[in-house]
Amino acid sequence: MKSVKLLVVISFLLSASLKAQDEASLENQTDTVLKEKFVPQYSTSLGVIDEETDNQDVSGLLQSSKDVFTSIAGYNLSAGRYRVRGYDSENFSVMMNGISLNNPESGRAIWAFWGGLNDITRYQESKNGISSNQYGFGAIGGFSNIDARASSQRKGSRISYANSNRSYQHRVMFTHSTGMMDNGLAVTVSGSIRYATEGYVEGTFYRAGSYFLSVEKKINEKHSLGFVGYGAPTVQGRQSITTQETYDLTGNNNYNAYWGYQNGEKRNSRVRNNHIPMMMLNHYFTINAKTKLTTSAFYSFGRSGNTRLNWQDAADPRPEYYKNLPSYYDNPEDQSLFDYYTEAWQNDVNTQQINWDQMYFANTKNLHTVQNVGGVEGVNVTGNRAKYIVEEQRNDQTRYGFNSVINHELDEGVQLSGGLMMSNYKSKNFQVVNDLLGADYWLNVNQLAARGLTTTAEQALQNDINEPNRIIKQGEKFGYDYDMYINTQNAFAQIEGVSSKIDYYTGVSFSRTATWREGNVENGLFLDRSVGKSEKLTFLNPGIKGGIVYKITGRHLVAINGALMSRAPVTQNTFLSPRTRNQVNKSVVNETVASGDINYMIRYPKLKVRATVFLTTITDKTRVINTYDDVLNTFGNYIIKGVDQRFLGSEIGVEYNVTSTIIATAAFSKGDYTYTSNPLVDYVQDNISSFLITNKRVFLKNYKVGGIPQTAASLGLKYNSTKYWFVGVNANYFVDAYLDVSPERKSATATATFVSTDPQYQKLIEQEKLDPGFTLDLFAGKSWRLKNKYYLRLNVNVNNVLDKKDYQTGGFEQIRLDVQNVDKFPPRVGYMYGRTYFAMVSFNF
Amino acid sequence: MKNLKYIIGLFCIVSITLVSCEKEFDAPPTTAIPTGNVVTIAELRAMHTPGSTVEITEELSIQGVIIADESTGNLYKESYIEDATGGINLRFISSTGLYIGDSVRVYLKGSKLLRYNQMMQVDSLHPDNNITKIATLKYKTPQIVTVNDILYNLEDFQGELIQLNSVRFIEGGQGKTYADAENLASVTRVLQDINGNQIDVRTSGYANFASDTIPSGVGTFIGVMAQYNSGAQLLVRNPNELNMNGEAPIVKDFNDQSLTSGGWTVQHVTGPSFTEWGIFAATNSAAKISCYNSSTSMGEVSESWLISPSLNLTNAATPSVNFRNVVRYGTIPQLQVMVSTDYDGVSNPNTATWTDLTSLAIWDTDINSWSTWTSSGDLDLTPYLSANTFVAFKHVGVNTSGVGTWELDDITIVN
Repeated sequence: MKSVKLLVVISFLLSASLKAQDEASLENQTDTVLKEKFVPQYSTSLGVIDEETDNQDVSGLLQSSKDVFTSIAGYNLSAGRYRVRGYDSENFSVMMNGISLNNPESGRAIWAFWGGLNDITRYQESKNGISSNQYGFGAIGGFSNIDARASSQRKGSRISYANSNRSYQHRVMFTHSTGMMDNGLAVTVSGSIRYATEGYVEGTFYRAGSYFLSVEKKINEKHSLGFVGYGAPTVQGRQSITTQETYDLTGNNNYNAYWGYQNGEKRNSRVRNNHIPMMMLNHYFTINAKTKLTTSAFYSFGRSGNTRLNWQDAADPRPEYYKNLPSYYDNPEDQSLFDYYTEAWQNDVNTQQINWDQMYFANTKNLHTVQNVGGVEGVNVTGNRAKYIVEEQRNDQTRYGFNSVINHELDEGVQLSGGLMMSNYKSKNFQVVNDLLGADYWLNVNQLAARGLTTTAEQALQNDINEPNRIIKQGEKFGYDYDMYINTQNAFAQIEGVSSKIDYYTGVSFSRTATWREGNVENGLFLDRSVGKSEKLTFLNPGIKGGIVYKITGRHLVAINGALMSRAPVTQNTFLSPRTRNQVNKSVVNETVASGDINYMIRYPKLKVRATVFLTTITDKTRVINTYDDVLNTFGNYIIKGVDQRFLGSEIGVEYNVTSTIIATAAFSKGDYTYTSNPLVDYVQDNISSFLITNKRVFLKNYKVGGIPQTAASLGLKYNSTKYWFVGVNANYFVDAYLDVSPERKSATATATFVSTDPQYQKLIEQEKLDPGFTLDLFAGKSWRLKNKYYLRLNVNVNNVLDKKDYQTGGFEQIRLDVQNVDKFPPRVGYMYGRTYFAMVSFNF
Repeated sequence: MKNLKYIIGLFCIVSITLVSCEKEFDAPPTTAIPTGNVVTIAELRAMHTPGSTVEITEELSIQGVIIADESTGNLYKESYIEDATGGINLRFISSTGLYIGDSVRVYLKGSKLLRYNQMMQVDSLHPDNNITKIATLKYKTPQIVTVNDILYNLEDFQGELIQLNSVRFIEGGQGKTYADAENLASVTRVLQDINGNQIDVRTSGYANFASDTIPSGVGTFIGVMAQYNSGAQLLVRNPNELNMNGEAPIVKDFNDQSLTSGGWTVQHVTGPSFTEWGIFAATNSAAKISCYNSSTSMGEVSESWLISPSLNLTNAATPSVNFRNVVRYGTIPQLQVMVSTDYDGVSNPNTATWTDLTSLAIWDTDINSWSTWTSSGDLDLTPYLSANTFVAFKHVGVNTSGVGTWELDDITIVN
């Protein structure tokens, strides 16, 4: 029976024909979004705990924008890691049916959680920058509201197949919408499968599904009830970002250190495995012709995990670890080891990549007896103890809440909006043994605890003193285990007016956020502080915004927007070391965001222009960076307090219909994104409650915000044939990108050892500017209409046609610094993909 | 609509199987480390050519028990192995994963045999490729030796697990730590036995007990014997196995040229004043006694006691007394060593009950030299545990010819 259904699917794919629509860009957007984007604001010092946040690009949002600049820039410039106005994605608000989808823990919308549902998510209302917003207060970067109501979906069915060489190789997607039926019911279903044995980057595989169901029942003229449920289980092998040395040694700028051969098969050590389904109930209440009330309740839950290698009593198995690289052995007196490692890196795949077989070999012969297992005297277990494992670090979330928004037309052209929202969020954070790699067990002790302690107490080694020396089997929890709670309440109100000469809006918002940690295991190092609830931190955050459009004529408009808001710090920055204890970062404060822009817009049928200057300051940011120090042999947290940033820049977007069939587009943005404060740093170890560093000044002021091109331009030409085909080209240019600086290198302690004429001094204080990048993209499409009712469409786009692989898209300096040799821990950098393509056929019926 | 249901069902099934079936990778085939010819550690040590590094190219293994590991941080990327014939230092290219009590076979091909500042070691071992673990918890009992045993036979004890009894750190009780944890620097502390023989104990600043205070008392030390050039360097495996909390010994060495300092008393019961206990004053002074009358060349009848302070031995484990003695000109009269638990500390000692331990001690018999100092050996005081124990040296002069002169030094009473 199953095969019959499969045939049905395939026949849908093949049996009809149709007409095209410029959709390639939309397909591409999610592709970029899903791609591993490693754009940390700050670096982590070592890879052991590098940035795990799903750093999702917001370009997907922006491409569907109707704004002339944003739609061009969002799509064409995303490959170069261009970010609109230099903002992090926490400055963009993503909603579905008015419910915020931004993750409370990171502030960011994680597109992977609804990946593969492009047929649904393409219908969104987007506004860029500070704007009026009928659903909530929004954010300074803009907002997007995905309309998932079944009655809003276009009636019909659509099936598509895409082939690509980016994250995935194959994608099949199906969507059906009934439209509003006579019985008052509307149903939309959608699903997709995305698959790659290996993506563009070696060792990256991709296996993802997705499902979506939206049902709406019109009860009467005033009331409609809706249900939306979706999820996107995704398992994906990840890509590393490493030092230049590894790219040079391998001759591959997309070198991926995360995979290696196991028994002749490629295996990735860093696997992301997410599935966070979301369910919502919406009540649409049309109180009268002028007043609407939308009330929603939602529940979302699921697993989010990332695997990585862990090891005890053994050498660091990661090929990119600095002691496994030739440079570590570079000694002018004796180059034999340097030569040995260089040779091995260039010719031995088991040196260049992870050597899984060796880890199995070590694990299957490491006989060891654990005594007093579980703390029970005399219970001994003998077996092969794992030296190496694959662990999964989990961040399993549940979130529920409701919101209620009222929209009322106060007067002709004057709209009043207001709402209340409540969200309760909990994440369970723990480690699980994913694979014992041939061993019999893993021992639940913290070997790093021993170092730096003044006592040799056995207890200190225990991750869980209530069950000391526990033996961990596959699938069992070990290490840290804590829950993070974030409860938010928000109220907003807005008035917006439209008239022939002047449009205006103004809005206010007030939020309360309460956050706390609850430890589930009693760590031997922090007996009184590791288990149970921490103190509850409460943040109160007001916001105000407003804007005005002055229509000089119907064709020429001037707009001014401004916003001032405070924002609760990101939860993971409010605890000194959440993995081990409840200790609160006492110095954390609300961030303040101030932003304004002035716009000039031209709207002719043939010419659309927007020119903007903007200025944004984000002040009092706190960042916590996880580090690992292999001299002290401890994990640590590098806490930077009072980071101020200024984003100043201009944007120009132009769209010009040269002829009825030729459209020219141009987008240009020049920015100056700079740190404007000299923050203070605290450095705390995971295994000691005292600080290694307190209130050390780091001189970040006037350094550029790194990792993104601050200036970017895109020029495009598109030919639209009247015979239902199109072809286009885009040229994109990225410049003024910098490596993000490490605060540790910009401190007096770092520079104290050098006189200012020392070349090492210069290396410490200068910020590396990346070379400009240039890409050329081509796209084309054709559509056919069959039997007057079916449409078959074909789209192809090729990015980076010239296959330029030497453009560094970003990177960061490591926190770790050896003042004897400032080059010892070089920056980690990433490169843009070479030529990639995306091709799709779709069939609407 | 019906088709639709099937299609959705199909998507659900495919997407869930796609994701939930986590790809299983086959475990690579297991391989064993070769063994080759098994030699003893003594045979391996004999393969070393002085002054050179021997590259081991043959199929060769040694087998033994791990006696020191990295778990306390005092060792890093190294270990010690011992078999019935000897011990040796194993040095690895990374963390060893070895634990005390592991019974292992070490495949030596590809490693190097060398002396590092006289310490014999096998270098360049790979913890996974060279080690086969055979069994666990096979703890080796340390061999009990003296400081001098080691100092005079460095080569014989290299890399072996040893135990020293009745030793103390000379800086014990001063709050000194094993090493400098703050600067991660190694520190040498000196152990001394009751005879004053000294041996170094060296601890790494990376050891997790580096900042622990060294024990202040006397007792049992267990560690691994390593050598650094011409000296011995003992390594602590874990401070928990050091039992050195005994009270410091009472040592009467007369170097202050006083018979009575430290609470000692002289009770001259009878006889001319020259038959009383006196001091032989020299760089290394001693107590001296004789009944010889130079004007008659005969002995005089006399009785003189040198008595310890009151000793509280209530909590002592294995108390003992030890002293050095030398005699010249004649062995008559025999110096006596006595013990009492009912003496009052001031009266005529004959009012108390004394037990004569003279026969338990080793006495000098060479009457021709002052340089034949003889150690008495440890005289067990366990039968005399009390809060008021006295040890005394009694000399009873006789009126005969051929009497000798006794000298007594370094009286050490261990609690």
